[in-house]
Amino acid sequence: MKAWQMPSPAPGHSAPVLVASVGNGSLLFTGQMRAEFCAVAPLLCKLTDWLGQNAVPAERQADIEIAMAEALNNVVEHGGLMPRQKIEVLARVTGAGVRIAIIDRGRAYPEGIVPENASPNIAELPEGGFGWMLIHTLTQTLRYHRSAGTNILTLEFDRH
Amino acid sequence: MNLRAHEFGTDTVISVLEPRIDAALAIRFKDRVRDLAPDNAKRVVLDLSEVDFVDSSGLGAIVAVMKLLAPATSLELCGMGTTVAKVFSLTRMDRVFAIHESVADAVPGARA
Repeated sequence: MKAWQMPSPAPGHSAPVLVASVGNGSLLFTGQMRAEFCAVAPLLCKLTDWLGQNAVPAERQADIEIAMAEALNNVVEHGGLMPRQKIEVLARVTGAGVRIAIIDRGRAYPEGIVPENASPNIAELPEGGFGWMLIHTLTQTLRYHRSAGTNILTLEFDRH
Repeated sequence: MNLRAHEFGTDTVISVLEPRIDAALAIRFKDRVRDLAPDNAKRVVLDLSEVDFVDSSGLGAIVAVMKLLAPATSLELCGMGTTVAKVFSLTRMDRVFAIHESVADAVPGARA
């Protein structure tokens, strides 16, 4: 697995979003949010703006927003982080895809793996349990890596 | 949480005047819809035409409202945009609700 370069910490920056050119012509998005539910929507708004600037079609932007909302909510809900702790999001447009990493210093995933793609039984009128199913369905690849107390979830989407 | 209710006989249309129903708002949404739904309503139609985005927590809250109102009152939906409709179809919850194109389709005689 090609590792993401960890971003350097930026103390004092509450929600900086930088868009900068990096090597081989692709563009990088970096954002961070506090570990609370109300911080998810503002970050997703910036991410979808950036996707639009990179000519990612509206339909794919919607897929990415749906999957990312679930993944970020999961970190807030299950990561055991304090609200002031930061969750970082890095995204890069590659030739045919969009690769996004969610980086947090919360609890490790149970058994160190991405939860499987299980759908709740709709006949039981479930009020939850759709998150990982949506993430699995909308991503091309999904990888989880834990090292040095840090979770890195990498989601890859087709660009078009 | 900005919601607006209009009664049309035994039908009540509740318009959600928020861009998102998500984890940050799900519990307030559920409580407010329950408070706004009249006890004697046969149908409550949730108008989602102003809503751009629903996450699985928002979806869960809508399901929770449906269960709270049943069996006396049925919860139906209208005005879904493409992203909201996608969340319902991917989770197959579009099979659980009566879904209408617009308020006018859901409640003949209502002027949205």
